[in-house]
Amino acid sequence: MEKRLIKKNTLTGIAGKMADEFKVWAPVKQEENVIFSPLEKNEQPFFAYLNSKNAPKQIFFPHTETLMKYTSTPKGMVFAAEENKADKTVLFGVRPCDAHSFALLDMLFDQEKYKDQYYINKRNNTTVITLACVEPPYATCFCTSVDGEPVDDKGADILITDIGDNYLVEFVTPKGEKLANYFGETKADAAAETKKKEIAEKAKQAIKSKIPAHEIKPILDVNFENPIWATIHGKCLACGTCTWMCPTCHCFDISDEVKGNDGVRIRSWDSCMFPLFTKETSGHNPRTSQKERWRQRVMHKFKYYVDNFNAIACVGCGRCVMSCPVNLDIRKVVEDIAKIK
Amino acid sequence: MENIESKLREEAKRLLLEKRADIIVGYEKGTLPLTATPCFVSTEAEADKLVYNELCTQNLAKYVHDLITAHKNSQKRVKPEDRKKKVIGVVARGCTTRSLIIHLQERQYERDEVYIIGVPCEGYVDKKNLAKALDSAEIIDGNLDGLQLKIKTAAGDKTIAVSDVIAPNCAVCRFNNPIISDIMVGTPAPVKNPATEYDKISEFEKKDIAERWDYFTKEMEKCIRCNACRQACPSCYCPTCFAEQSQPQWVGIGEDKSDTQVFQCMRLFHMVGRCVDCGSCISVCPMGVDLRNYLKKIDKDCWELFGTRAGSSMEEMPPLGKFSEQDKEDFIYNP
Amino acid sequence: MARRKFATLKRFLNYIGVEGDRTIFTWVSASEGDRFAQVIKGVTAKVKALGPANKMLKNIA
Repeated sequence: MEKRLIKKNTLTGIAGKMADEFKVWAPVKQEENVIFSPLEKNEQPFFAYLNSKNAPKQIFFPHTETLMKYTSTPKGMVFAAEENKADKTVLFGVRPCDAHSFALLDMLFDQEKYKDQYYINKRNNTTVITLACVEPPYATCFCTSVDGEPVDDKGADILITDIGDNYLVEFVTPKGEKLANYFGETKADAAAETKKKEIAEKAKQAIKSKIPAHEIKPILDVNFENPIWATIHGKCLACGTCTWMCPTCHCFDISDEVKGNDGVRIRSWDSCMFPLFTKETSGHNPRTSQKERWRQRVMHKFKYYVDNFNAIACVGCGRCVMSCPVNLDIRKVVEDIAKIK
Repeated sequence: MENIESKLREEAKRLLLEKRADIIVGYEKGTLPLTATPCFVSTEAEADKLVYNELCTQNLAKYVHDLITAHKNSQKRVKPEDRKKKVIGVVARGCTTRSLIIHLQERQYERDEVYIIGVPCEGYVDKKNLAKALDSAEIIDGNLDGLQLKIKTAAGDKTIAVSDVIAPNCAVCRFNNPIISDIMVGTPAPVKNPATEYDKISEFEKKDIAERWDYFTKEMEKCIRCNACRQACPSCYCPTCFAEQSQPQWVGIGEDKSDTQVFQCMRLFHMVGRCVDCGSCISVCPMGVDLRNYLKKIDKDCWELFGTRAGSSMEEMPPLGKFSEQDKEDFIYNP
Repeated sequence: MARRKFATLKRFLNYIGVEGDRTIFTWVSASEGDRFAQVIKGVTAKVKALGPANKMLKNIA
């Protein structure tokens, strides 16, 4: 597909222009955190960021989402499906790892036997513009170990790469190409493409943190009862920071909230780290301790997802590594598992 | 600190060897540069990984409670005469011992179930302050040289004094040395500067009510309900938190503004006479919510109204567990 | 003990930004019918003066 060159100082302007036509989600600086947020009028996006504090998955899979409403009337319950509307949206400037996470979430929410209309509708109405990592943002980045790359178009509709003097803009999907008129007229030449390839290779080599993510799958297959599970979770606080920050964690809970005669059914994020996650109505909890919860987290990412969709449910962004309050490092957990004989 | 570390390891080995403790909760080096993380030591060989320095942030009393509770639960189906006692050793500085005192006063376990290895404290490095001092440049490598941080960042090398990036709660700490201990490793550290501890709170109190509410709203909007604050807090040990009760449900599970505010408000208020200002909840918060502004207020009120500081003495009853005839009555409404 | 909780609660809520006149505490004996009426009148007047409470209020639907 088509490739173009844009000047480096035009990015903010393009995002601003898009805001007239679309709802634009972009990184913004809020105090010390950079987070993804819908741009307000004349608000400046902050593109000089490493990666956002939280994962942008909330755009397709919000923390809390209303599924339907109901009202109790003298004639009985009246149900109303929540209008499943999605604004035309542009997600501007996600990192390749986060865009990769969208491709992974699609496998689950948009699969043959189960289609999640709430997710799909938002996904279909959103154009994802990826900003490649020319230099790996953090020492904790390990995307190359989990099928990602710092310059990569997985999950993206448009890929923007800093090639020194200019940005190279690549339209990856037809959805991305529809926005071509925002990116000027300058066609990219072969030299620009070569340059990008060089940069991509260099960036890939610069990722130093590596984990044996693929190697542990056969080990996990046969080690559900291994004593190692009793050792890794010790210091885990059982908070949900890792799962909340994670771009691929997607477990949710559905609950009703009622006030007077009105009620709503909401879906909200849930975390396998919480004791309440598996608690049953009877009061019984099949996962009695953090040991089982941690096993679930590792299994889900590196075994079950591979079994179901042939993909590892981790994009190597390193958010859980950096945000874990007690430094329970998933890289070390994976390494330790790889050592099981 | 090198001296303390080697003594600490020796002490841990001795305790395990003499079977005076079954497991020791301490700190080890973290996987990220300039971090220390909680660890558990149950063999002599493991004791060599123990560290103790200004990078140790967590209040380990939380783990003492967790371990004892888990052990007691595992003993429930054992005949009373066959039940075993488990002794948890813990590396404890001032604030940790205050939390242990709170646990003991609240009858969570007996004094002989915990073996306290007291350590002095110079205060710990605050992540936020450090990031500010480094202009948010990523730390690539670093080490602690005495009370100097030698840091290699993405933007060049830098040397920072620990005292410049110390956590706000440590800078005004009144109890930086253990209040109770079974053995003390190292000599007590000089007292900090507690005279200014309530300055910020007094200033905030003077603000207009609308301004105070705006600040509360703004801070609580950052909260993502990950529960890290609650989970890291040694005083938050309820088997089922009110936030997770479903019959009745006190607070919604979503990210509705009111739910976040109510959750935080109730958790904070549960800390009356129980918050030891260890800063654990603040250091674990991924979003940097200013919880201390509220916790310190609670501490201040407790001191002003009841003359008590949480966990500051084994003998004194918790402030909400008693009353005094001298208590002020100005809050009582008389038409 | 309850009074200590109320003393701190009133201060705490006021500190976060909930008007002090919304947290009211007093003692009324079962024999003090008149005093009870006075208290309720007073409380109602105070709250009316403040207007509807809209903080930490959840609106669903």
